[in-house]
Amino acid sequence: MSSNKLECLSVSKLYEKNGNRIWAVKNLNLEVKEGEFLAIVGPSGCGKSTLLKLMASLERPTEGKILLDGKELRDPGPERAMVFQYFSLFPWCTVLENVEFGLKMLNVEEDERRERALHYIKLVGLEGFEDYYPRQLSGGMKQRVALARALAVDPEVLLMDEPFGSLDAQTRNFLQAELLKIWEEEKKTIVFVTHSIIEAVYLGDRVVLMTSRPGRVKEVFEIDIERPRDKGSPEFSRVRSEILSSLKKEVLKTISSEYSLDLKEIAEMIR
Amino acid sequence: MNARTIFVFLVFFASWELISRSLGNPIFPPPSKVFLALFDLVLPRNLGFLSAPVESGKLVPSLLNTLKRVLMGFSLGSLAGFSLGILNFRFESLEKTIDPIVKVLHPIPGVSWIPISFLAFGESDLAVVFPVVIATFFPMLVNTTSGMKSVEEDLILAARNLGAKGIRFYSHVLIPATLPFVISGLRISWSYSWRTSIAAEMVLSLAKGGGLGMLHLTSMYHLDVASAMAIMLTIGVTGMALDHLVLGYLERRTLEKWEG
Repeated sequence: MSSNKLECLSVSKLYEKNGNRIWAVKNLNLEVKEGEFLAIVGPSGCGKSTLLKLMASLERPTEGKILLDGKELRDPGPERAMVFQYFSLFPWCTVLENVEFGLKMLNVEEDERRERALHYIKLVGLEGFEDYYPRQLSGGMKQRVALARALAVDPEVLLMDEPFGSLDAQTRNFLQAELLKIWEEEKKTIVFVTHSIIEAVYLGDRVVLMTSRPGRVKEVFEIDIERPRDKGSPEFSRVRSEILSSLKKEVLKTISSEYSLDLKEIAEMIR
Repeated sequence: MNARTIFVFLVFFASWELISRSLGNPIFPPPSKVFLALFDLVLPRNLGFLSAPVESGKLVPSLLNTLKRVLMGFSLGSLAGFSLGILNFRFESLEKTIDPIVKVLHPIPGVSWIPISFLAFGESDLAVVFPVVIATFFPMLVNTTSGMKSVEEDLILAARNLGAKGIRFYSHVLIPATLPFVISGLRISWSYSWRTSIAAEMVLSLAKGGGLGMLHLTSMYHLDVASAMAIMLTIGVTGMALDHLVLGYLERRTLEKWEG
């Protein structure tokens, strides 16, 4: 649990659109430890998703580098499998074909492919739905398929981009607990982006709070609460409000930069 | 075919028959005569019902000739349009370069190319095939290009993340993801190419191996309006059958999977 699995070394990402230059991420330094569940929270538009895409090499950093086991990353690969907010399942593929997709790209033989896919479909509790198409499934079920699809390629790191953000509260709570169970069984390193502090505190070994744009690491919180965590416990609330007050300052900054208002003015408006 | 469709057709033919008979004008023959003419066009000369029109027995060979040409043009044109659509996705600069030309050439109907086609290919099948290729190519190109552009960004990222690259990225992700657009492109292309092939045959009245368009024109030369109308019916039914039964079937099969 001590060595670094993934490292971001002064990573910056610049977007240029119609002559506008926007630094989504600037000089970001972050280590993700082997086997760790790292949650990332931050004000909306702070570059959380960009950071995840950089880690997956789906975007190239403008400056700095990202290392996996000490080696610089260049191309995307299934060893950093990603789970997207809106599932991004292949609509023309059945559940089974979706889960098999990564294995097919890895040229895994058909028998083994099937066996592994079925194993992960069972793991996420979708046994019996192998031949369903994504459109026949609920949001929660789709996200389980996406999770199984990502796990099936046996990734070293699982990158999750607000995976439960579009689901209803009950499904979300249920899947959070399921995810922790799977994480404990599979011993993966997980980087989990969310805008919900409760979710971050519930899931993470550590919670990284990002600054408003351009995104940087503002503060890292170690969550020492024993699992399974009780979202109603006083300990949980204490950690939560600690992160929340730190986040509030960032949110105010975002608002002030977007509306070019004075911080004091906004604080008064909110009060 | 449901009861309503049958009823609509019955009413349609009955009123046509009534109006035609009350007018008694040879320019507007009743459907009963048109159907007899249709039999004559299909059956050999000595088996016909009417007084042996010159086109006796020519309908089926003409239809096959037209189908041969239109399918050649349609497959060539749609394959070319589809391929260039993929290249447009792969090379963004290519799309930007050719886009203005495409925008100007697209609205020119396939039939406008008939004179040039005649000069270039003379009275051969190619003279009909060429305008059909043009008529098919542009709708296919435009649909494929916009289809590939509209594929959800995250879907592409998910595929790349799972290791899809090279040819397999296209065959396993991009092309299936674009398929609904490709099929609607095929349907539009089909309707253009069918119309174009008939028009081209009428203009080019080919010396050998005439098609439906030519047969249609010949019957008009002989003032045989009933035969002309029978041929028009054939054109309509064949075009509909291929669109509805073949392409429509494909479309229903894919949309069933692709959408909710």
